[in-house]
Amino acid sequence: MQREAALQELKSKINTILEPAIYVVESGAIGRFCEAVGDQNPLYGDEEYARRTKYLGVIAPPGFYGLPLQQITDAEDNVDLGILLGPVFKSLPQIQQLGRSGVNGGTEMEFYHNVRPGDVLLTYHKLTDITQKQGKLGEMMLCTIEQTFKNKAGQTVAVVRTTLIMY
Amino acid sequence: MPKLFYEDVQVGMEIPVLCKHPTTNQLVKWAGATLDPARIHYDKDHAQKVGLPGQIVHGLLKCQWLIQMLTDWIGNDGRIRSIKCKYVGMDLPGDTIECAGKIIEKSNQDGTGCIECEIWLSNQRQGKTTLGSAIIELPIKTKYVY
Repeated sequence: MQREAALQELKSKINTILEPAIYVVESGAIGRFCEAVGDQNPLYGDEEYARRTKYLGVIAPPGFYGLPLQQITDAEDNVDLGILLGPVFKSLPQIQQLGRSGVNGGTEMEFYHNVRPGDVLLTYHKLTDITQKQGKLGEMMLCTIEQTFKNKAGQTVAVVRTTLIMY
Repeated sequence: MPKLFYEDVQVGMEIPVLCKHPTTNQLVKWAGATLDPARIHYDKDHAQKVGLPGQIVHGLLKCQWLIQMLTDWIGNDGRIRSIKCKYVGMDLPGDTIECAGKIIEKSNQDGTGCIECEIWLSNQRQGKTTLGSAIIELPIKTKYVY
């Protein structure tokens, strides 16, 4: 019943823009991200190299938008949220009541502008869809979340859509 | 000098494969770098308790490997316009993962060299576990300013 109530509440918030989150892009965080990926492109960390490219300086790899300033709720037992969905979870805690665990079902990213160390990005997010489905993990709830990252100049840097599978 | 020009590629051409050998250690590093505390990625007992085959590789990390495959291939002068990934299977530490793809469309859009690629990620146990596509811009030789 708790699940049904959570579902109804989430459905009423579809396409509502939630409280924006601030993401800070710091060179050390870019370095740790690249190390975890195993991506050694010097464009992401070697200032001298990067200055000689058309970017005229270090950029973050496409897919990295910094780290959210807000504390991420402790969700270690439940939902796979991480860097992108942490702030969303703060605004929509009901997502956790949709199942006993969650996995990432899919990612879509559109890239418009480069991200650089020192950038501060404002992220607007919204839940765009909830669909019920039967699958390998039993009854699943597919939540689609859209995030728009904007830089200080007001330019859209990237749009990211994530499908979170709760089961 | 750009690594890859629009004129250098043809429909059907394959993208050089990028191999990955994930370990639990790498998943913990990724969890730290992306503030993802979910235990399904580093605690095997917990992952199995919630119905998974073991600690699974993060979906977003798989997407990032596909991005790396593309940027390694196109170099700094190309640009990924968009990428889509669907995680249809699970990958585990110890798997041998291959990121691969091929060009399915090519068009000159108002002076911008545009290509569309089918991309995927596979492991030795299950075959393809991530299916996706990407749209990429490449420099055009005749328009390139050296």
